Amino acid sequence: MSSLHLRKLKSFIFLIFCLVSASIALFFLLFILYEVIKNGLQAFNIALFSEDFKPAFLGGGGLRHALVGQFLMTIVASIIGIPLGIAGGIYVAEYGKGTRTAKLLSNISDMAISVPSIIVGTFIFGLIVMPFHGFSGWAGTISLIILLLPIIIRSTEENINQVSPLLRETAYALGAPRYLVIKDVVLKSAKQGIITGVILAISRIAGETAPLLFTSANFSQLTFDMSNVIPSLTITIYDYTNLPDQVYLNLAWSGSLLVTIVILFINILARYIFTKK
Amino acid sequence: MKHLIKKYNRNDKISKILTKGSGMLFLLIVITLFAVLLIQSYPVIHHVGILDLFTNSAWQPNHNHFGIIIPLTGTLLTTLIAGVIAIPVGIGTALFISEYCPFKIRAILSIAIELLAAIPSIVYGLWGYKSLAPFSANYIQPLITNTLGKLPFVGSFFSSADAIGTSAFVAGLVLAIMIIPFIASFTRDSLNQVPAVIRESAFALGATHYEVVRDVMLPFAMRGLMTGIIMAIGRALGETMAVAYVIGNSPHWINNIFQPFATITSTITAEFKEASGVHISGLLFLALILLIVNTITILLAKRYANKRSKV
Repeated sequence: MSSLHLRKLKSFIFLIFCLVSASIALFFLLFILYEVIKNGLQAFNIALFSEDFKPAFLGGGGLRHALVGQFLMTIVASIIGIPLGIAGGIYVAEYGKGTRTAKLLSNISDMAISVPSIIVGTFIFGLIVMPFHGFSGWAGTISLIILLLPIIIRSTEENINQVSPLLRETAYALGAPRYLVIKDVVLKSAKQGIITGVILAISRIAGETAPLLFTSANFSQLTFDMSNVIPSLTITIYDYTNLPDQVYLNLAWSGSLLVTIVILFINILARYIFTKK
Repeated sequence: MKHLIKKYNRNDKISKILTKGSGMLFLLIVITLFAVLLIQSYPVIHHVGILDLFTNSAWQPNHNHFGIIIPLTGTLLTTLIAGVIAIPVGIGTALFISEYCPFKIRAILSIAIELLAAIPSIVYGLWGYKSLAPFSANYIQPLITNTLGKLPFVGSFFSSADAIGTSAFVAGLVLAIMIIPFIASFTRDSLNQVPAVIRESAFALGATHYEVVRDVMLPFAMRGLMTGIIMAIGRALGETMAVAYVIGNSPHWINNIFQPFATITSTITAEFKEASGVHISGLLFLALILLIVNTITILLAKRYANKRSKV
């Protein structure tokens, strides 16, 4: 075989390798979507949203209590975490720019994004749950806030850094004080990117399980009391998988389908906002 | 005018204090995190001694054995399995998308892979437990047993006649599927950075597609690629729910990868609720170890990312 043929053969084998790799990735994507949709649809009905936990002989009920709990914690965490995170990002990129504290904060946030979420859960367990002798919705919410903060700080910082210095200087030249420049010029031009970052951050905490396991724990009834145990969809999915009755397994699949739809929707929304001019 | 300037100065000060306060709050949280894990780990260190924690190969909380070797080995083994599968598949997928894929389906495939990364880990866990584990026991396990299992010396580690379902291998496989999109999108992004001129010049010199990728594209994209791989490994190390579902959480040495095993995260997840006293401290010590291993991994990734590319 001539050397040219050998080289072409190698190239062909390489093509096959890439094709097989992409097929494997796509196969598993379709596999997981197929199973989640197929199994999830079995218990996907009105009762899923309107009923709480019921014993198996009464049909098992729905997931309303878990949906409300997870929604409550995610929303409260977002309401507290988003302003704090954006403010922290503004400090890093504006008031503290160039200082050692700001650099440290930026680096630590960058690292904190990759810290496993279960570590945050165990930390809040040691800090709040253990000393105060009780799981609570607040403990779960604080875990979520801690996961939210570094993502928002970093994305705010990066988006502010992309604002053209010309714009900023023009505003200063017109005599605007710093806080007005930040509020009316910098934040306004970085708005699109910051919103995208915020949405992606929310999508990350909305499907979290590990940080809630030992903080908010789980509960089988509808509750709005954040100072006590509060149910969450993700932990309910986990607990229901291990129950002997098939109805609960079906509910777990429906919960998975629901959380997947919500997360994918939020992600597509973020993508849409980001690409919109 | 004076009044206005006064107002401006005041507001500026307030906004500086508010933003700085938020930033400092987060720094304080991170410091507290390390402090709390250290302080809460103290009882177990005091109880059994630091040497015993690292050398005792038994994790039996009921008998006061808190050796971290087995959970740590489990974490490293599942991550290794995940890496061996996900690194070639992830890179291959990215190369397919950016080199061979017809333009029309390129965007769709790209988005599909990224959506795979957005699916929450609890869903991967449930799917892994109910769908992938039986699939693996029926198809993948016999395949590996009949190929890698026939190797001399190491073969027995890859072969098993029992199909239990939950095992170290399935945990590694789920982790691999979770990090493939991560590696693929990092690789694709760094391949996109390669200047088209360089790539086209190589083609013009008569290089085959494979040679262009091997000698031009990959060396150029190596830095971003390595960063992506290390970050993905960091994710696999700390992944909790998916692993907790499929590993079977059994803290005993295994003879082959198709047996149930335990990782740091699966041990914490399985035992936390029933734990009390020193046991809790032992679990928090595990969390601390995981945090340290993970931090080292991320630091490595950052060092790679900041290094000057040689090309």
